Amino acid sequence: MIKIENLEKVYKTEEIETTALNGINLHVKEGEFVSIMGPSGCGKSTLLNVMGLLDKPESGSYKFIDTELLKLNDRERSNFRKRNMGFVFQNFNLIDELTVFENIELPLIYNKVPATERKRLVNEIIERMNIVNRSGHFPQQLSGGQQQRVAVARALVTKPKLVLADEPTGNLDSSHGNEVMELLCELNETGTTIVMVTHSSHDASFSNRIINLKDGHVISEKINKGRTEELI
Amino acid sequence: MFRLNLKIALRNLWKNKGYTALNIFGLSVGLAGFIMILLFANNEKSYDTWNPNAKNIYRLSIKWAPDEEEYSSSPAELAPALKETLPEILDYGRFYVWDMKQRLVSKGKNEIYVDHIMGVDSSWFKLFPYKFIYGEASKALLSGNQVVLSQKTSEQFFGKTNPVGQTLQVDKEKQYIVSGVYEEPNTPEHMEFDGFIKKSSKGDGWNNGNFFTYLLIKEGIDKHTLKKKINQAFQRMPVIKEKTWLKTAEVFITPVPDIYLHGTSAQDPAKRGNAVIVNMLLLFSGLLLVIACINFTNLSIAQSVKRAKETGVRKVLGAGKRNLITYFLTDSAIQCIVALLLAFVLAEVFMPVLNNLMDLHLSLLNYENPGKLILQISVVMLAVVILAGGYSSFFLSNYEPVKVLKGNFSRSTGSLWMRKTLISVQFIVATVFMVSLMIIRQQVTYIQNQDVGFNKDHVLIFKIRNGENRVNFDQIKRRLEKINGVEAVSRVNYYPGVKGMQVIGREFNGQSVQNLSVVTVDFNYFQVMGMPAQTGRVFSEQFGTDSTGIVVNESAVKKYGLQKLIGSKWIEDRTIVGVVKDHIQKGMETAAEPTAFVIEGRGTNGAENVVLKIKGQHLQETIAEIKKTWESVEPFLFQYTWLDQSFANVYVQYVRLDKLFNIFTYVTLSIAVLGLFSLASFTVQERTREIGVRKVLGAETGDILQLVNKGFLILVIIANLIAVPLAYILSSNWLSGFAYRTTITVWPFLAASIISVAITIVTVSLQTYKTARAKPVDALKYE
Repeated sequence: MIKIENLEKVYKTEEIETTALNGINLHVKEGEFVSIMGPSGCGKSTLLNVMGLLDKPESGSYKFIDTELLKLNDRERSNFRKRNMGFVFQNFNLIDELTVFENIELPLIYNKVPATERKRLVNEIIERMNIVNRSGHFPQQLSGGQQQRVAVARALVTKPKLVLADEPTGNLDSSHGNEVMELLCELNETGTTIVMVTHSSHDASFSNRIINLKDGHVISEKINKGRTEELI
Repeated sequence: MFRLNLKIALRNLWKNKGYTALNIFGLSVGLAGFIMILLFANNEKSYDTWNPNAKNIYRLSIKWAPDEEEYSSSPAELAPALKETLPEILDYGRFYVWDMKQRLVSKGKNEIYVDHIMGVDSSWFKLFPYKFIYGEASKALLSGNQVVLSQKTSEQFFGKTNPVGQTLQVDKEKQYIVSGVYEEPNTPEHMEFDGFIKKSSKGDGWNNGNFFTYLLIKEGIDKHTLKKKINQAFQRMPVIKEKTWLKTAEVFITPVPDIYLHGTSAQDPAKRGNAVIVNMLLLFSGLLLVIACINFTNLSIAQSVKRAKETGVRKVLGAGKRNLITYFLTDSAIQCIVALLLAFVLAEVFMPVLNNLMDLHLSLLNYENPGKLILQISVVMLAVVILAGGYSSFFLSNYEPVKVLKGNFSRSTGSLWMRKTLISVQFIVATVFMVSLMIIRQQVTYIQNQDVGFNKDHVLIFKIRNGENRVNFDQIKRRLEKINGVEAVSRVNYYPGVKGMQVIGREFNGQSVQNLSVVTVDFNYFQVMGMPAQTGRVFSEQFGTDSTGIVVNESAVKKYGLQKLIGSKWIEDRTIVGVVKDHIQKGMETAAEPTAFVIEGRGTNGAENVVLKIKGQHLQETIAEIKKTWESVEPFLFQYTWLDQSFANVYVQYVRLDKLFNIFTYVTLSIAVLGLFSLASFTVQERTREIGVRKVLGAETGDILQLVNKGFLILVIIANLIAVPLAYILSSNWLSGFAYRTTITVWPFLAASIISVAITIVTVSLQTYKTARAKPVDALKYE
């Protein structure tokens, strides 16, 4: 589904240039759950941001199914993103002024889904995520685990082909972390492709494939057999 | 500690040069506007304050009957009679209305018209103690051939030398010996004086109420008690028994410093200011300053995000709230002081604009009362520092260190509300200004296009200086009429725009005819003025009886019920010849008064102004010819005015107000936009993460612009909802002072609202656009 070739990304400040991605090649198949690991500053978040069209690389190619995404203009990128991708962040990135229901509804509004349909979709996902009794609450009124559930619900409500997760358990204790990981697995089992950046090998063990990055290079790739077998 | 604070504050200001410049500039514009208006208001309120006696000097005025107007002159006999019975009266000084005329003063070949050589009592300088440079006040007006000159007048004839003992010729006849020279006072006066002679009449009996009378009263007497005592004394005077019509009269008193701004009498030769305009300008300049302070606060808070970390570190290191407030106040105070210095420069640079507009000669550099000004400005500055710096200091010092250091210093609802309120106040003021400007402009246009009831174009006016030429005018008139380009020639005493007026009370068939204004004219007056008869006809030389006839205006017909009397006899045995349309005489504040026109003759006033209707072409040649003809009759300098120019004086203050308001409105709007810009920038900074999240979820630039604009538009719409009724009340109040006024329509309100909304959308969008367009990852990294 995803074909990334020779991707380069350089950060420039007044004094120094930092190469964050240095000729990355990466293929992701539909229905796969891929973890990206590596030390701080290795470029994993940058890679995720580029994959999510949140950032632009200097050069290379990024094909999603058959579309070359790096040639799109801002508006096309934004349209492509909202139709095909969902995001889960370490710090949840919920909007404090909106309720749980409204937070989840937001991507549907931007996708111009009619109101009745929006209501149906949001209620469906709220039920699935087991947060029905929280739908009128504001984010600050929820625990971290609950907030991340809302964030996941928000990422899924548009039924995206690809979910990108940036350290989804980074701000959670282990029991809440496991809950979220199980949620992502369930999701993956229903066919959603997931790419996740993580520090934790525990979290990575939930995925089919683990890619190790260092200094902007892919240094190793490991198939997670247990999980793959399970899948088979 | 203070030195450290100062150092950090200065470094911080320097680091954020752009912001500091914006902040200081906004405040200095507000301050400069305020200082300029303050100078103007101080000047308006300083009339006659040079005189240490001023508050104990009262000018008398009289209402002859309860329903009549209050006249600022009174009989000469009144003051001596009052002084005899009331020990509170220390002295009095009077001048005679016929001594107020312009005089041609000559020394050898040096001939100059001097406008205000006043005939006064010799006691005058006890009431008005001018500082004599040459001569002695007590001996200066002992005889009728002495003249006291102001320094300026003296220098016109004698240069810097001592002129005492030298002679001057007045109006080509009488010789005067200069007996003293005084220094012009350093504050303006309600009457203009260029010099003094002894007054020409001792009094003319109780029937001649043409003396302007000032009483010097003992220190500490209350005005109301004094007025009561004066009226009681007046009613006890023996003359009341002889002249019963005096019984209905009531005496009024006005303290000299109040005459200029608060005088109430009609027919007043004194200069008159407009207290309403002075207070209005003070109010609006105060508002301008408040807006500038609000702006300063908003800009400081907008900038505070950058200083939150510094504050957090200071708190962790042990700074108390008080330390922090002092620190931030130092920061604000530095900016305020720089703004003040800049404001002085701006005020001095733009003072000529105000001087030009208001016909003044004010300057900061040689201001007559610097002590007072410094005190006023210091008080205002203290208020500005507290107003402008206080809230932001409080706001900044209130950050919680842990949150701040973690990077979480987003909105607290309280401060957000405060800032929203501040920006709303700015927009309320800006909208009120815009509406006021539009209504003032509408009214000024209305005034200028008002049908004044006569044709003011191409009418030349000059004064007859020799009384004999008035009496034998016919012959000169024929000569003037023959000049090529002259269409008609006549004379009049009170041409339109002159505020003085003869007002008479008579009886006709047992009915009282009160408050009739009488204008003395010559034949052809209505032709010169373009005032055709509405009923009957105007005066014509073909009808010999017209010289004792009378022409009335529509208001007189209405007031006295003259519809059926046209063509028959009325007061003073005069036949009503015809009716003319009402015309505007005194200005737009006063409705047309019942007026009668009579031909100069026995028992009328003299019509001493020649008026000529002239054709539009070859003006210069025509005027040269008129000058030649007139100078062959009168050996004085020939001076003339145009009717349209002199009439413009009745509304000139409103034209000025319009221009001044124009400036005010633009300055206020720019400051409000600056405030909006800063708050928008602050909001965008605060909402960067949210904007990023929304973009990640699919929001486009348009969605983000809409989102941020919505918040501001709600504020501006609320501000408009408050401003519209406020502006309506203010402007309808102001308009109610005019007899001729425009109607208030919905348009100024609508236009001001639309403008404020449009400005908001443009400003906020400009500020938001960059963030809305940025890559979402930049916004998310922000945390």
